[in-house]
Amino acid sequence: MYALNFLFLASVILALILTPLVRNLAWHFGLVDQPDQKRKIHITPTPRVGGVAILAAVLCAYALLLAVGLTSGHIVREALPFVTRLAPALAIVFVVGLVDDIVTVRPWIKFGGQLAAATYAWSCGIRVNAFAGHPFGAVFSFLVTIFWIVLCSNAINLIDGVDGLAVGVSLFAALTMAGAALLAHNFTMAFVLAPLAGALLGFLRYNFQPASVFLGDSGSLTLGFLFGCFGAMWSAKSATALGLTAPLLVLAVPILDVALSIVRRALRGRPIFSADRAHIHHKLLALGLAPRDVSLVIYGICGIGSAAALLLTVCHDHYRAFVIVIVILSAWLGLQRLGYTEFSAAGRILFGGVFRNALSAQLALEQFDQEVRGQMSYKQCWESLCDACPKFGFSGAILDLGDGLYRWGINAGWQVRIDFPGRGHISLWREAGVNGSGASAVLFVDSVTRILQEKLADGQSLEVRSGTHD
Amino acid sequence: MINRLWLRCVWALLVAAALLISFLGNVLFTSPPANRWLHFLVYAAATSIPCALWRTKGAVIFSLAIVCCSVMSGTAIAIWSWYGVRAESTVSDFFGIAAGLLLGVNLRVAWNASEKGADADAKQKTRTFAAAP
Repeated sequence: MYALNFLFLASVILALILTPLVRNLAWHFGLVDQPDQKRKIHITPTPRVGGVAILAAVLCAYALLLAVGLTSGHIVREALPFVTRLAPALAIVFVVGLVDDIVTVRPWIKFGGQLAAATYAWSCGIRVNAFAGHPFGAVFSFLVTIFWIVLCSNAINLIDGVDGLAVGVSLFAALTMAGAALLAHNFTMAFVLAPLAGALLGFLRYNFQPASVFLGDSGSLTLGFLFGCFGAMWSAKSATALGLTAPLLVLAVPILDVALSIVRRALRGRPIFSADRAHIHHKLLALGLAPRDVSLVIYGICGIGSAAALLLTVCHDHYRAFVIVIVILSAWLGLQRLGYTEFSAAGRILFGGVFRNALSAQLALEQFDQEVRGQMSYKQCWESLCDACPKFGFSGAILDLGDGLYRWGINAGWQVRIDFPGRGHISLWREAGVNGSGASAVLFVDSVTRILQEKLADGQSLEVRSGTHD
Repeated sequence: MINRLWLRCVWALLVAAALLISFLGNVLFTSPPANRWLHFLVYAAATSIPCALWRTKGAVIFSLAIVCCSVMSGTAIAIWSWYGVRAESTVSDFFGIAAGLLLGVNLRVAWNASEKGADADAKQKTRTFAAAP
């Protein structure tokens, strides 16, 4: 424990010393983030390579531990082969992030770097082998591990939108994972996490609102990658069917944010990598919270998630299902409170009868198309049209093709009139205030127009004379 | 058609069931997982109905107080009569109450939002007709 405390305190002090140095260097080399009053809401230009300070603090803390020769130094030495094996993967993510901090790189290049690093980590033995007690095969384990690590990397990267937010969330994650590692007597993992937590705490002093230095992609991607790896190790070490549940709870907010972003952009038909101002922290800012309050609210949620994760670890899986139910219900409540229009609209479409109405209208349209596509006379077409009209909200119709007038239903409300130059017209009437069938009504009108044009082009004569269709 | 009286009856039955399983759960159900789930579901249902449906704040608080009393009395009787360890059931009860609270609040928020939407639609329609000559 002395060595753990030493590592933690040393990394706090080192981060407090190194961060201003890195910040000044970033100023010197012009590595600053300029505000744009759109997505970048900070007021003054701010250095953005804070990840360098965190990594330097962690490495220096290890060096100090080995130098002072505490008895626990052997645990660090035992873990060194594993750490050196994983170092190239970490280096890939860190360099990709650092390059993005210096010269902005395309999202797919960053994504490629994350994929390469995650694949390397898998080859080093960082694997998710089971979920909820169900073991995976090798291929599925590979896919899930890659997905998990890339998800975590992007989760921490995307939540880095308010001063101190990503660092605070990462601090909660590091402390919780270190606590879980100690509870499971996994001292190697605790020795890796303790200096990381210390460095994050020291860095938070400069990153909390108002921030004088940003984490940058070098920090956020590296932290996310590390938490992905630690989460996979946590799930592998878990003796119960806990699997990834506890790591998911620890990183619940950033993972929920990245999942929401993907679903939101998919629903809107926008590229997944496109940036917007609809992340959870942006929504909280839009609700009127100050940036400092946004960070504190999300810290609170992370604290609850961390407590739940530790509770699961202590209770050895007894209440996993209950905790999952409560987390899902809490997330639902949070989403309702944040007011994502995409999800409320999707909910109305799926559960409010809109989808059912659209489906039945589409089926009616296809049936109508099939009926009138055949060799039908105008009379048969007209009868099919009259049968189909109510399904699309039309209450009346008038067909006038010069040599005959055909009328059906109530001709009141508003009308759509389609002219066939030199031949006549058709009017479809719809009463004001009719609910539903809006989009399908347009498709129906389009279909009627096309079919009548085809029939007229064929030169069919109007068989039906003036009268009222019942 | 489910009316409010029926819902009150259902809620009263759920509270009675909660009391029954609190007092006699260990006798009636010997399988711990089934017992845990039963406790969780009964308390979740007994909590979510008032949270989602009762109109006044007083009625909601009164109903929740009765549900909490049911948990407390079950635990007290178990301690008093040395009825074996009931800690697992009590934890399940509290998880059930938390889930019921969240579910009830979620449903209430969702219904309020849909009612507001319907009201807005109705106002929009009224404006449209009023503007018509």
